[in-house]
Amino acid sequence: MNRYKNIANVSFDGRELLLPLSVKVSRQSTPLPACSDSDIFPTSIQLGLPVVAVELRLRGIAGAEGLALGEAGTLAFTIGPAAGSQAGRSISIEQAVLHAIEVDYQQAALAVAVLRFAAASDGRQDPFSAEDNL
Amino acid sequence: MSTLDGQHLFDSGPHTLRPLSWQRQLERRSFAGLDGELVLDMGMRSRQIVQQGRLQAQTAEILQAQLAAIEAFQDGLTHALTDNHNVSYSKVLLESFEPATPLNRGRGFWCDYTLTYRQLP
Repeated sequence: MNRYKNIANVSFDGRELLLPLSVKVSRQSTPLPACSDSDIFPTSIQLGLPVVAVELRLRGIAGAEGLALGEAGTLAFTIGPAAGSQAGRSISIEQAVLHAIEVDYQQAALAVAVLRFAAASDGRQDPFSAEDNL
Repeated sequence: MSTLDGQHLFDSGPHTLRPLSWQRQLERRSFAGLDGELVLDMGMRSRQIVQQGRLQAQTAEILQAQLAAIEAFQDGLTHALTDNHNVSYSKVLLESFEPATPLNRGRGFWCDYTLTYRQLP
């Protein structure tokens, strides 16, 4: 069983984003329950439109501030193995659209930038993919 | 599950049935200077029964076939409807049927629908 830690590198649209702190990838659909008038629990759960969202926190605020809202591209990052005998993992989100840039400047701590993305697709392919590094 | 003329058209997903009020047609007459009114009962008229539910299928073709099977009952003839509680409604016309959502692709293909019957007294 592989475990992972230490984000090795993060890139967006081919540009490296330095000093990543965390990457949170969320894939969510809204559940749409329904039941008949003779039921008290839902008998059907359908899903609303799925959204692949990413929240990236990094200390390389210069790179973050150089981005523009609405930019789109592939967001890719690798995460290292937790132990030397295990494999790291590469994660890629296609057509990620940058929709939020927040930078938190601190008096007595390091500045942190938070970037938020939502991914589009061709409508059939999951924009999210992940695989262990061989 | 509800049936229409004994056919299980709606079983792929859940649905609810809501019978609306019978309509009693009344003629009301009032006269100047007199309190009260005359009410003439013109008889019972029809009522609507509203069904809302969800249709589901593995393929778009099967879902389209389910929709077509229901639309085939929109023929101007009366049918017999039995609801989820085995309550029967006779002399029912299928007045309107339409998807309430687009034909969506999620866990298979699905759509919500609204179906309106008109029941004759």
